[in-house]
Amino acid sequence: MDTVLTGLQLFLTIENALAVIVGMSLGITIGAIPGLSSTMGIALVLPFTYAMTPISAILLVVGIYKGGMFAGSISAILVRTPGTPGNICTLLDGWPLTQNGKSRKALDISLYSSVCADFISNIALISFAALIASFALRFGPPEYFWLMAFSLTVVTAVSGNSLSKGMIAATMGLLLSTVGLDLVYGGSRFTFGILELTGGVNLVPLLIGLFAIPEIVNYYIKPEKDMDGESRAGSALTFSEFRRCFPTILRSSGIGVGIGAIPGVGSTAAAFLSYTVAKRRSKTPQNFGKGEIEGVAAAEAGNNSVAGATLIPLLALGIPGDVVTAVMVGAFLIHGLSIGPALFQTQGEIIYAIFFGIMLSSLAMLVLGMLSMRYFSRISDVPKRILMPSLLIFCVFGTYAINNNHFDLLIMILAGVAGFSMMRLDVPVAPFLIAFVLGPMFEDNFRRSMLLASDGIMIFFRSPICWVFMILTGLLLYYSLSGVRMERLRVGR
Amino acid sequence: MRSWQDMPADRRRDAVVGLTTALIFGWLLTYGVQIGISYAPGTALTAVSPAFFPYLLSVAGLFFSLCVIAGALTSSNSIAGDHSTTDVIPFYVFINRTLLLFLILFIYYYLFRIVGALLLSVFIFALLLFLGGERQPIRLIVLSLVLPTGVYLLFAQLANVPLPRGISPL
Repeated sequence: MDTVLTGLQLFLTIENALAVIVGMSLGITIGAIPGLSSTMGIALVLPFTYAMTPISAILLVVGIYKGGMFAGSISAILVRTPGTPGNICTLLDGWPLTQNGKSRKALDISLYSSVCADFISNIALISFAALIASFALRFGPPEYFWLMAFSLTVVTAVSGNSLSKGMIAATMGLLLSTVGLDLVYGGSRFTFGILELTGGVNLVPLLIGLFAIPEIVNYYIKPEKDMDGESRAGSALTFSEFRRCFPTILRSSGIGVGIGAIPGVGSTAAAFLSYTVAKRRSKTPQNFGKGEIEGVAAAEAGNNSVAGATLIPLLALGIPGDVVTAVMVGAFLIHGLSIGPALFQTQGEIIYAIFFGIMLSSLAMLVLGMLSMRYFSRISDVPKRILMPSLLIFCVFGTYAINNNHFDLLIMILAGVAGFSMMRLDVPVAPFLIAFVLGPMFEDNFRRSMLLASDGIMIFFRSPICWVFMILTGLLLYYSLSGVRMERLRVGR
Repeated sequence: MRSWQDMPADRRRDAVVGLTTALIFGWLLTYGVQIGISYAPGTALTAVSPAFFPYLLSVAGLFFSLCVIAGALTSSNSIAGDHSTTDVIPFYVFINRTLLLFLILFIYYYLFRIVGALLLSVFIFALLLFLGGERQPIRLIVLSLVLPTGVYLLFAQLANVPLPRGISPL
């Protein structure tokens, strides 16, 4: 108790509160710009944290991380360009809502579900950090393999009209993820002598190319008349709409916390699993993908609840859960904090001070989000003849900014050609991207399991966790296939 | 099974998708994986081989492609697609505009380092603004100068991104 009170005392300074607010503002601004990521934001501010106290420095970084994660939904909803891979799922319903003149509603539900999920995630972090982290440690390669298999099965939920076309897209995404150096033997695969491909295809140019470029090209094929002087943002979210989405937000937050606590899985899987579960449990699943606010709520709650939960393995075990938390390790090290189990014992008061700051970050997200949302929603009122060229320039500069690499622009344009073709041919893009993100982990864990195995494929059935995910994968596949059959019968009738 | 002419447009489209992807996966299975991945002879189908996963995916992709073709040829009902722009504008206009847009994007890529990020973006912005229907010269010039410069400053000055300067003095 003394440690908690000392932590509270350490936290209660103007500098710490400002660090949370400034970090969150920076995160929201950076996250809302296509191509700029929280990782880049944290890397940029790290040198400025030298002069700060350890607590303020960590809170500034956490603010950027959380703000960026939430704000990635803004560009996904307004200009069909997800800020982070975790926001891909948000645009499935967020973008149709914008097209229907309801961008304000989409942004509102995105904010409220993000704040609720973030709060729940923080509570989980504070209450169950040690417990969840010890459970996550039971995951070996076979358990990860089944978790990845289960996550990839959610592809069936976002396959649009045709399950087979969704599977083709997913297979192509998995194949594309094999480009680059082979993780086991170190040989190159599908690089064809191109040096820039040795590290694999970069995710951000692919993301921008698949989603933003087709939308830009599509606009110029048949320019729409702009409705001058008329707002397309629509009305704000009503309380009854929020109440309708609340059970989905709670459920998705639970899924996100569970997924986030397992290092390496990340927000993409959490968002898609939450979306799939929400769609399956909805009374109107046919509305998902056409502008259903519950879809935005599920995706954003799943995505944002990962933020706090990813800090569980980071603080409790010293294992970064994703790229951003790996960069955050730098902030801890700069200030002489060696993360891991010993941190709770040796510097418990600093950890509790950080926990108080993290709780404040949820409040900061709500207030800053509400203040900024009314302005962000106005982006949909900008005439498209001005918005589209501006978006292209953001995409090009943002893509170049990732690695200062000219080749990434070519990847973006080629991904644009692929995305545009998929759009015209009605092949869903989301399964392609989920498979691309999860592919390396899926293959890597499969091969590592096989290398570890002394009894062949029996290693994949070695623990109860394997069985649970295997049964869940089977059930999800069964329900998806039976759902497609029912839909065909319904349409046929 | 129906003839090509009797099939609804979306089913014909599905058949084309299935056929194209079947050719891609078929090529990967027969030549692509062998050309793209180096592995010891006779080890391609061992589970830890770097070629195992791509082979497995190629087989799966081929299977799904054949499913799409079969579905397109045998299904009796039509499914509505999301994008029907080609239905309201002539096909040659659609092709011309698509090619023009991608040509602009490839020029943007090619000249990005030569001309410089800022100068090239001003020209591309003006061209796209014109293609988007802006015909007022003053607005066209002012917007083309102000917006790309603003975005450039955001990235180059605030985010410290070393965007290529090319022939531009800035």
